[in-house]
Amino acid sequence: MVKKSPPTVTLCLLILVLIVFGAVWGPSISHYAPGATTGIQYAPPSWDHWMGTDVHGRDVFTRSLHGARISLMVGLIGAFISLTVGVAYGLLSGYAGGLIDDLMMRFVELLYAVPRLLIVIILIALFDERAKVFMGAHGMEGLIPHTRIILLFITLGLVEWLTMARIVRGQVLSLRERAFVHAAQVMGQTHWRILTRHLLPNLLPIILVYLTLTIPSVILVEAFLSFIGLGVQAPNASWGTLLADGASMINPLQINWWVLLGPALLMALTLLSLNFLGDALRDRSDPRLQRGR
Amino acid sequence: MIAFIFKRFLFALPVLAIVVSATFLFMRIAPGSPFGADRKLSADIEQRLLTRYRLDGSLGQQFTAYWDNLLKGDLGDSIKYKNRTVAEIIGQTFPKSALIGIGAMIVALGIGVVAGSYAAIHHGTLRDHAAMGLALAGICLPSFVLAPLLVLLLAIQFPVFPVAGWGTLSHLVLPIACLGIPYGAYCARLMRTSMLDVLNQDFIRTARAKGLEERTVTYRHALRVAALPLVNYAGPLAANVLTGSLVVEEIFKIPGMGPFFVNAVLSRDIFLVGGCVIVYFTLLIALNLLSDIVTAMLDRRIRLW
Repeated sequence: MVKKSPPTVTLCLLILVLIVFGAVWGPSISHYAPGATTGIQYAPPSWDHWMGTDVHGRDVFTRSLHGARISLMVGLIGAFISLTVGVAYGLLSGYAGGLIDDLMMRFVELLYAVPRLLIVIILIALFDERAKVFMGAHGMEGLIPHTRIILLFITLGLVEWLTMARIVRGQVLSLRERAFVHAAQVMGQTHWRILTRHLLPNLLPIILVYLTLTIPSVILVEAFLSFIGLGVQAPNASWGTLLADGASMINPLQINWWVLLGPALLMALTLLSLNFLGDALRDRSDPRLQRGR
Repeated sequence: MIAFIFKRFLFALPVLAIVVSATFLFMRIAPGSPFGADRKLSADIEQRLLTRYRLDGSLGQQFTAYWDNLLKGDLGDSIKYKNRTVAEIIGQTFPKSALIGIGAMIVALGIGVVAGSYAAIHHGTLRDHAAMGLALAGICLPSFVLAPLLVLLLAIQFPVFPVAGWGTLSHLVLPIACLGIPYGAYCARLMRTSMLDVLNQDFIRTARAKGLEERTVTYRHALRVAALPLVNYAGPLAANVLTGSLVVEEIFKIPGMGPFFVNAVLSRDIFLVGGCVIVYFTLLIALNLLSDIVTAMLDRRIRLW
């Protein structure tokens, strides 16, 4: 029985499509280039500049859309990496069972208690230079200005996989006792085939749900790192750097709140929609929560 | 129970040692010298500085020298902040960070318990949806967005609280609110799910069947068990608050540990980073232990010792 989607879910999807569309084509449709200066410093929001202009007279709305590209990209790729690590870890832990499972899960619990962002901060600060040298030596000179973004993909992917691993492992524990898995084992299929052909397809729905929930948390972490100056660097801009710009505009000497509002609004809308969508998907896939409705 | 705490303590020590060692080694392997970030130093001076901080010789020698100092209880001298020892800096900044952090955790857990139970008790009604909608919005407004917005509203437009700084009680309100509210929203969602689960269990039905008042059932019987996931979350929450404090202290210009840590990492101030890492990790390990003990006290079915 397929339930009808509640209107809020449709609304969230619509918002996400609009934001992705705006991020991809917005900057080229807009009257203003993201970096173009207009000479009108700190213009409040108007018909010409929907979200006003910043210190260099750049259009805040266009810049926010442009920033969405990097934020969304980091969110997607970071979430994908964390997903791969988490699923692989969870599959292995759950399927192996016994002592290996025990040890692997203790390790996850240990990592849960560690302030992972502190480690990310240290790693990014330390490997920034080294990564640039590495890329220069391996024919990737074109990527050097984007070192930070690439480092972000990797480090964020490597810290956000814990929840995924736990959930996949829980699912695998129950799946591997099911008849079709036993049948596959009896027929002499290799562990690899059982993992990839029998277990993984059954995990896809739950993986998808947690993908929608991981993307917003990766976007948030990216924004946090960019905010403290360890993330995306100029000339690139993400929501985090734009928010940092905006936050510095609010002080007793000058209140140019619109510089903050543009990126804050776009980011909050995106996160809200993704979280809402993920929740709706999770509630639907979890029969325990259907009770009393 | 003493044995349990002792066992956990024995388990925690190697973890701490590994983290501290890894931090030291990473910082020494990574390119970039802690000295002469501003201008190039002559080789002679750099060598003397290295000797002065016991950072000369092979990596192994430096490593043993560092541990030698640590085991004597000496965290070393800061390189960036001249003439100040790491212990001194941490001693001055840590109490301020701790005050903000504890305040934020109380706010987060408080919001979580109240809003989460409220939503669960009024399950499925407009009140539930309103509370949970707010919670979802709270999650999407991280501290560093909430902070400037609250400053604009409550410090500039309506000057109730100071914009930034440190000293009086009113200086504490905005930072604690900014740090606590986003996690409060998360706690509320956790609490709601758990409360709903508990309210459907048999022992609650029994309590109702005994003729107890709904209020007693909720607050005496259900709340205790429903708060368990929240207590479990206290450990990760502490880690989140800790990282969140890095930006909040920066925004509100609070002389806490956060800005020192970030600057130390950026300028390769190896001893200060090491000191901060030791403090942060010890704190988290202690909090996780505390949360386990409270869990066992709330739920008698869990036996830790």
